Amino acid sequence: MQNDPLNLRSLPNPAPPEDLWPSIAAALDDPPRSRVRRYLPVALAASLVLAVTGLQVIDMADDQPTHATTEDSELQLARATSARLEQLLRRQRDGVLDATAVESLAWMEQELGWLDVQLADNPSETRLWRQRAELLAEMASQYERNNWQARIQLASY
Amino acid sequence: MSNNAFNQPLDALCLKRLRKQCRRTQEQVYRLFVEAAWTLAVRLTGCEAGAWDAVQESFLRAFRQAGQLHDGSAFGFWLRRIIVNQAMDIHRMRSRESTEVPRETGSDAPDPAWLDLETAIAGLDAHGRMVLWLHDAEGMTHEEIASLVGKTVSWSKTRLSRTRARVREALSKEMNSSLRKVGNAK
Repeated sequence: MQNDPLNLRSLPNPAPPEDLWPSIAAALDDPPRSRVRRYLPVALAASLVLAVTGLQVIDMADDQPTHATTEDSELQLARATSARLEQLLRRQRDGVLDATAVESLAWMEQELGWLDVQLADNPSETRLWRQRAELLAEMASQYERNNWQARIQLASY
Repeated sequence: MSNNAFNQPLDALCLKRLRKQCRRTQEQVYRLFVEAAWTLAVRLTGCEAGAWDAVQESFLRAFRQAGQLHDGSAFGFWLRRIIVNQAMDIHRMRSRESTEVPRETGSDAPDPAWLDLETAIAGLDAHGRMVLWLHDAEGMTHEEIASLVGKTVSWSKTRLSRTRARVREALSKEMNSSLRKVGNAK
């Protein structure tokens, strides 16, 4: 076959494990938003401020003439900001979210996945690292906003 | 094979129930797509452990976000896209952790030709395996693959051509080695 010269379609279909559905059903019964946890708003806010400051520095660097050293420092800064935000998000991901935020964050998580696929091939691409840091900052801010709302809602019960 | 399995449409009632998180409907939809989903995930991740994570997370996302879908006929393709994304995430995590994951074929088929081909595919790099499988087995176009991975059409074409050559080379080495063994036995 022209479109399948290696005849991949002739390979037998591996059978899915029988216990996969029970595992999915159990996970559906336990959506992430049911896991109510306490947060440390001061630490999160501080990390966010650091991250946003980092992004502003990157933006300011846009106006500067391009030099190898500037490029290097931009790349390092974008990577560092990205790492810091990722650490912050690791804690935030366990939080309480409303349905609207879940949808929008799920979309952003997918975008993050695409960016990381591209970064796997171009690890020194400053532009991609900046996009990643900006996306992470947006996600962190959305989580933070949503966590405040959730706390207020919980407190009102 | 699996190339048309994602093409099965969901009717309006089914989609409506999915949006309401009806567990029975979710299970019916799972049964409808699981074989195609599992095959795709095993081929893309190269191992059953990775496939489990990719398929579970993909169905969870698809069911939880069913409200975003307006056309039941697109569900399968939407699910396929999520699985590919998940598989790439798994690849990304593996690259970060730099751990060697034992590769399995995921099949109990005894035919040596199948095993050789499966071994050759499992031995490919993640991008090559993905482009090869999505194009040749799933029947996707280079435009679709490029858009899915965020690359150019020419990247997809080049990757496919290189990957096919690698598989052929691996199969040919395997065949030569078998012939040598037969010769030595004589």
